[in-house]
Amino acid sequence: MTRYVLRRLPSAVLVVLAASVVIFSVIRLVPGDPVATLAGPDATPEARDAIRAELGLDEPVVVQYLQWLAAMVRLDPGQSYLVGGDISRLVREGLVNTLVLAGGALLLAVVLTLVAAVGGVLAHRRGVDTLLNGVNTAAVALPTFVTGPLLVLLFAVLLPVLPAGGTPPEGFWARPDISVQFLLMPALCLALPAAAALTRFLSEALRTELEQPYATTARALGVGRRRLVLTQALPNALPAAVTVLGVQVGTLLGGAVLVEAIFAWPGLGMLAEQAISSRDYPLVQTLLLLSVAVFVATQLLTDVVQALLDPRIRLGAS
Amino acid sequence: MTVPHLHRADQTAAPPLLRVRDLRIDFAHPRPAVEGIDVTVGRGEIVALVGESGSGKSMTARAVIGLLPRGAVATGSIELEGREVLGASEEDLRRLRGAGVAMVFQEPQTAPNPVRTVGWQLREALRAHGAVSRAEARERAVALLRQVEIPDPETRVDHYPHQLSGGQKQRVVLALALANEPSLLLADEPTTALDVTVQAEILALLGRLRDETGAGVLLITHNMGVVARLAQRVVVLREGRVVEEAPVRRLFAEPEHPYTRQLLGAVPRLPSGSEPPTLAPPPEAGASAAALRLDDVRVVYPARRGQAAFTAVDGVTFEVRRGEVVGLVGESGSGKTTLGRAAAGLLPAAAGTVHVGGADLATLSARALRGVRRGLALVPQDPAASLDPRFTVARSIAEPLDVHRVGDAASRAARVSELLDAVRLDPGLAQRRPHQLSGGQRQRVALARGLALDPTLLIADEPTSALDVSIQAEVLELFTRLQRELGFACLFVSHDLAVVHQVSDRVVVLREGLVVEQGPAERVFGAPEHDYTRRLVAAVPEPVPAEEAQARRVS
Amino acid sequence: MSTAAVTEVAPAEGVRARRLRWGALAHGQGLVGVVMVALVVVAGLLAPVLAPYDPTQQIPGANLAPPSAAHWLGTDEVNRDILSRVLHGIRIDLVVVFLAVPVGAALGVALGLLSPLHAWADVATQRLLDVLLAFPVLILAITATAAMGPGLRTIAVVIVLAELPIFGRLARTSVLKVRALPYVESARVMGAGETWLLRKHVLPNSLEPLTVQLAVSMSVAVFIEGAMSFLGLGVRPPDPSLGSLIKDGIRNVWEAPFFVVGPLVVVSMLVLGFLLVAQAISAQRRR
Repeated sequence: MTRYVLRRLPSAVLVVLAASVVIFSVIRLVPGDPVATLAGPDATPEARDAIRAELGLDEPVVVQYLQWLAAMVRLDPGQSYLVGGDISRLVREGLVNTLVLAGGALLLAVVLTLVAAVGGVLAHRRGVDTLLNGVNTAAVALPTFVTGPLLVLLFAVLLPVLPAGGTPPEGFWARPDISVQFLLMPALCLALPAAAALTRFLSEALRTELEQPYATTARALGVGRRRLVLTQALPNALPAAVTVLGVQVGTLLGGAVLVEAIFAWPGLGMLAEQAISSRDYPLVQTLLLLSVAVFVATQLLTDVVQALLDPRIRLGAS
Repeated sequence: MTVPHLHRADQTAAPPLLRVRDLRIDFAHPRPAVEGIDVTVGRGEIVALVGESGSGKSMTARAVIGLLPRGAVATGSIELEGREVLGASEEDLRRLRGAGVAMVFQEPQTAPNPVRTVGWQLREALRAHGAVSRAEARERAVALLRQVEIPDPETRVDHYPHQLSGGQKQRVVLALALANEPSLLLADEPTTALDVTVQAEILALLGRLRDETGAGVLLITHNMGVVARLAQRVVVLREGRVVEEAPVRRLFAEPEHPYTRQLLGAVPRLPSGSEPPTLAPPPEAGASAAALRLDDVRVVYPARRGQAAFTAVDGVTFEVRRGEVVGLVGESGSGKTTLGRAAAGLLPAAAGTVHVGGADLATLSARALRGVRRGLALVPQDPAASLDPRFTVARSIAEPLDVHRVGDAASRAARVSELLDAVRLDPGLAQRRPHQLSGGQRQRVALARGLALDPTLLIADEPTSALDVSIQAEVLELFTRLQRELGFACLFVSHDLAVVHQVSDRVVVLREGLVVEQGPAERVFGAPEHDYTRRLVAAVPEPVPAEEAQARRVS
Repeated sequence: MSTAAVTEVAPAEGVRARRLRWGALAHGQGLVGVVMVALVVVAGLLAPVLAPYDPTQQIPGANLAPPSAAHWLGTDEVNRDILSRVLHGIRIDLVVVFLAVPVGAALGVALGLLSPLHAWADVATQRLLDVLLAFPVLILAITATAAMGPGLRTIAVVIVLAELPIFGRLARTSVLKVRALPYVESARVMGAGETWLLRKHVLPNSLEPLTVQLAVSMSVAVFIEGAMSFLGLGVRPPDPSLGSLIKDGIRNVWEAPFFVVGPLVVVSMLVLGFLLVAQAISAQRRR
């Protein structure tokens, strides 16, 4: 089992390294000189050189990359150009908010999926299937930038029960009941596409499992359908569903940028939007690398969870 | 089970364990799958339901246990211990399944749940018919595993299915079926997916279990050898109808219906021990003339993600002379398919050499290799995938001609109709696609394609193992005739000893990647020298009723 | 042995009747999907003819006007006709859906098809696709915009880069599966070369499973364009695109709630249409 994890680790690290090269060089391709922007139009050549030296931009590119990478590994990405302040502080503040949002969405997506997929298969009625399928198709077909504003319109304006945006003023932990109100809409909005994709996958997988020979064996032994689904089909379908969940985390990471913009949620997505519009490239680089690293780590994690859930991988052949 | 309430009409005698009357199973379209079948099984009796694919034997079994596929409508009557099964509520059926009647399935690889331990699955079976405590269930599970003769049941009970061998898995499936002491056991091709030696063990076990438990057994099979070894009474089905029913000895001694005779005639047989082995023709001189020659060949599957490198075959030396058919036999995991692929140049030899028509495959340039391959052809196993689904029959057969740019369009078309004729296929099939053909027809097309360029060597990998016996018999006869006429050499890979015996001049017996024995077919099968070959031959179920076989052995 | 063998019946079950490949799109949800997509496509193609105004023309006196005979979908906050902007905005999606997606798919398929022929090329390609896949789509969009600035070109590049690994992986799996099938091995043994195998057997038989993904990818592409334009990473004003129209509509939702309806309906029709097509094809393949 440990060997299984260790075997996957190097390639994950390699992928993140390669992605860091891509991110670094892509930003280097950007037309326009950050020094000119920073120093302003009136700066003397000496002042520009000083800034250039301070930013390390006078070193060879490879050295710059290695310095940047080293700074990233030390979790000390340095100073932001324009938004101002220490990148690590900015990221830390945004990270908490984004983690709460993404975590809430992930939880919601998993719960929605289990209820819809398992419930649908257990109900085993044509009407329920049609209804779930319709809701599912709608959830997939309505993009996040449509559902978000719709939710705001419904629950903050027409039916003013939830705040239209922002984070709880007293922080997340002071009043959990209020935090939930703030979190509900953005998390739902973020969770919906992932939940729809997962539900589709899981119900299909459960139906396939119920047609497998082992399911027939169980039925021929008098095991009831409900028990068969919950104790046999689900454990068989789960490993693959976990992999799909891992992929959906990517959707969640990207979707967070949109959702944070819609709900004025001060997380990393919003920070990224600011960083792009103000061309704060060190900040953009940091955020991009962070999200890639998180995504790759998630997939590594889901690989491991999948292996843990499947005795054929966990134990190997005897 | 409770004693069933006796019906008036049955006052003279207790009802049989299972009585199926005028069973008819319909699907939305074509003809009914089952049309008026009558079968009875008494307590402690083993009744065989025999037929080829499409005969409705499996459907009948599924109707008995109330597990027909969706869309199937069953009418008639199925009484189990006097109680009607057809039309029973789902909950009544659920209570019946496992407790009154249980089923043993064909495919031990997939029948148990892969992510649950053996003990868990046995407990689940027990739990379905009444509460049991964990400790009780475990105790029962171990006892059941012991009953199906799994060694070290206290340890095995905590194993997952993938940690067991195929034979052990089938024993687990048997244990599951026996968990709630059913009075009727439905065994649907219980040994078809197993190697012969394992099959013999499982059949013997089934017989012993019947003796111990007194359960009736409805044995569904296509294999006449299995019928002969186990059954007391036989019901022969064809296309959903009962063709003949008779006690096993009478059926084998004096089959009445022509279809039964055809079925029995189609079964390939090994020479029985009493017949003296006929001497094979003396080996031809001149090894240089060999169509295929393997020298000390080793084939290794390289290490992949977490799996260590695996040596599939090692130190294999044999040859196929021109015009000779060599059978390559072995059980699963013996490396016979690997060796066939190595001979075809689909796998490289890690050591040793493979010569086809005198040329060493490993040293040839891509161009030269293609030239050598002009005289080489492969007939694959699975009729479902042996032909490109997009190609018409004519295009498939003509493919070798197209590849080597032989002749023009007209001459190729002429050759195609010639080949269709040779494999006895209607020329009207030329424009059909594979999905419009039956399995037997597809294998004929694959054979025709293989013969298109008059190959010197044909490699056939289990070409008939997916076919029904009567179709298999036809294809094998066709093969033998064509081989005699055209004189190509052939490496015939098969797990079926009787089939190999029928077509081969010489035989190579493989076991776990090593050659155990080789020699003329009559000699190897008639008087095997190696202990393993002897066991293999003895395990083949002969289509001769058990008692007679014993009597013959004594005389 | 007799000629009876020839008349041996083909088994009814087990062998699927091979229906018309596009039959799934001629009825039911497939047809609905095709009609939805076709309507939007025709509207976009004919935009110069159908649009009553120039999409960037500012009409005096019509500020956030509600729908009327003159302006079917009303006007926006800088007095432009929304219908004209929607019709022209569709054209961006047409480029994205029918150009960027097929290009990405074709490149991916080419990689997936050719890389397994060579062990090292295969490993290298797989690692390359791994790196691309490590970027969630919108993160990829941000990366590309950081480098290239916003615009249609950036959207197209993002979509090509997003689809390439998906099709690369799918095609490779499909190709490896087909290459190991008995009929391909038979052809190889009888002396067929790699090109022959690839052209005659592997390519045609590997591509069909990819049609479902193509339809799904097209619906995703509409979504990517919308999201990028919504975030200001896409088409630059004053050019219209469906995503930026929705963004503008949402911004003005209080004063002019009708604004967002038009672009919203068109986007949903496109996404849903492609989705229905994908579902219909995959349902057909399973049968």
